[in-house]
Amino acid sequence: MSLSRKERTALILKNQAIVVAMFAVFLVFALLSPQFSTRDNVILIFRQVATIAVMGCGMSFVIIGGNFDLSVGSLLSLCCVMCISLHDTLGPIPAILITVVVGIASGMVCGFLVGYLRLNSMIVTLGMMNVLQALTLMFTGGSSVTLMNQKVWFTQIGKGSIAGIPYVTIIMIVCIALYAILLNKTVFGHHVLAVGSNDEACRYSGINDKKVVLQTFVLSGVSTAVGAIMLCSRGGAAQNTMGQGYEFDVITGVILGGANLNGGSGSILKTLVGVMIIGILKNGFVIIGLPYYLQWLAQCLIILLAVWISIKSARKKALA
Amino acid sequence: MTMKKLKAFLGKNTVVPILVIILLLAAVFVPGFLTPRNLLNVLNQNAVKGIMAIGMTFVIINGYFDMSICTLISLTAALSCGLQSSIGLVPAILVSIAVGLAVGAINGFLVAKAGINAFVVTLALMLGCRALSYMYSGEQSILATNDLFTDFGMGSIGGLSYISILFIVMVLIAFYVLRFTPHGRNTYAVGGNAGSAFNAGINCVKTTFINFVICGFTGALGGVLFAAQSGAASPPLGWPDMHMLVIAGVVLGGTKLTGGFGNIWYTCGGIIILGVVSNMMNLLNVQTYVSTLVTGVIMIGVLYLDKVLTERKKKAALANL
Repeated sequence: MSLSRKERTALILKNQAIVVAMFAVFLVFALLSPQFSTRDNVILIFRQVATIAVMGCGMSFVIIGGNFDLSVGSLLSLCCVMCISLHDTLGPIPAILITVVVGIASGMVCGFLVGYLRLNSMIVTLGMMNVLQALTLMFTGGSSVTLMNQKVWFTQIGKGSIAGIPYVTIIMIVCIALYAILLNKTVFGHHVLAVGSNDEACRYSGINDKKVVLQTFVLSGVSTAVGAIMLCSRGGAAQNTMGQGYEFDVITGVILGGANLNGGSGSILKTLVGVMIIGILKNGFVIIGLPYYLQWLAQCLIILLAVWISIKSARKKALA
Repeated sequence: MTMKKLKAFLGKNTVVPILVIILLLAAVFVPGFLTPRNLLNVLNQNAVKGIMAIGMTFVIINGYFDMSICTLISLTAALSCGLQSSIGLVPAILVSIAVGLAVGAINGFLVAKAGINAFVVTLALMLGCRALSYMYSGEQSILATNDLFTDFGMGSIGGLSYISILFIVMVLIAFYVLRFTPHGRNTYAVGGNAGSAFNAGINCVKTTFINFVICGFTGALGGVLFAAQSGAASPPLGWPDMHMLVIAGVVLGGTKLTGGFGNIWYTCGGIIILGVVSNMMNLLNVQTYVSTLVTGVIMIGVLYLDKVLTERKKKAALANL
């Protein structure tokens, strides 16, 4: 069946509605404020979204696998304070490695409880959220931590750039490319998609669904650790409540990216677009001088609109 | 025979043995726990959370959950404190409740009628309510000016606070509605299997809608009572995990997140478990983070225990066949 050019354009527009929405939001802010579309500000947006974008990729795997991970916000706090305080005692490389190991460990605990013991992921990760928050406070004793010397190369991860492109953006793009390949081109990715849509069928066809679920949580933990390294190196400091509420930004990004919350479908690149929308809103409201809390209202409306449209089009498809 | 009955009862109501174990641990190891004053204290401290959990129970038995009450409470607390000086106490409270009902109605409409995932809808409304709360309060705490309001929040009769009495009354009403009214039975049916409930002629959309409105109502009431208790409303009240504590209370009691199973007594048990744990930690004089840690571990532990007990029951049922 060949489509006319007009129909094809309409189809692409419908499938890529969220990309169109991103450009629309960008355009609105660009028209409202001349400072918004400057090169510096666009680079700033990319810097700001790097952490959420990388965490969003990990979360995409968890959600595509049919679960939720609410513990990422607290894990982000823990990783940040660990990375900063170990940097001065053990040196930068061990600090980064230990941070990643902490991320993996937290992911494994969640993954074991959800995958192997089959407990509800929402309550388990909620429990983990409490546990990780407590560990963060225990580790720091309640005070915030700062690097002794703000000029060490570690801070360059967050602050530095090469040929105008920030390192964090490069890390983000590399991570997204890796995750996209992992989801679309590898056996593991296909298993995640399969387990998300029907884990019972997977079990009968010989896929180890428990292990797949565990692996998705580990991926989420690792990406949170990477996000934490980027976040804390930018400021050279970390507080106990740094990651509070991040889980909602991350999940919102994934939802805007069109991942099915019951599992089974989703795309890493679209998650990036969803996260970019949040980043643009966050930055834009500040640039045009409106109170920052209006971004939540905008997020609320955009989420509802995006999901409403996708459901409408899905129903039309089902009827046709 | 009675032993068997008892076993069946305990297998079905997993919250009872868990609660008994925790109470025994508290009574043995925590000095000062088993005084009437302290036990009343536990109830008084958790009454507001309990009231919010009542509405949440309806929604969870219906097979959904509501995250929007997280910031709805900060919005209604701000409204009830801010409006009482200009339009009077009762209208202020009525406006707050009306806002809660409206949020519940939007939730219910989008979930039941439009068929959008409850997680998405209530997350979006959570962000929306947060924005409105900050907008209304201008990022400032608002003090309650009416003495009657704060007197109600802090007053008590014989150690039992007014709010606890309200909680108990509401639990009894909720029990009646869930057990003895068509709406309550429809809720179980829709939560258990929406398809067959629909085929049996139950109006699923209406049932779900009403349950979300109930949850909005109790959420709004919770916000007002929080404000009455503390005499002020601050914008970050409830953020980021109040809804989670409430959902955890309901689920710890044994109500299933998949819907169709549970009752209001489970919810009371779950809320009391969380309350007793935090009370124990306070009496033992440990750091707050230890309390958070233990709460987290207990949440996971109780969930696991519940799983084990229900699976054993399932196996026993299969063996009897």
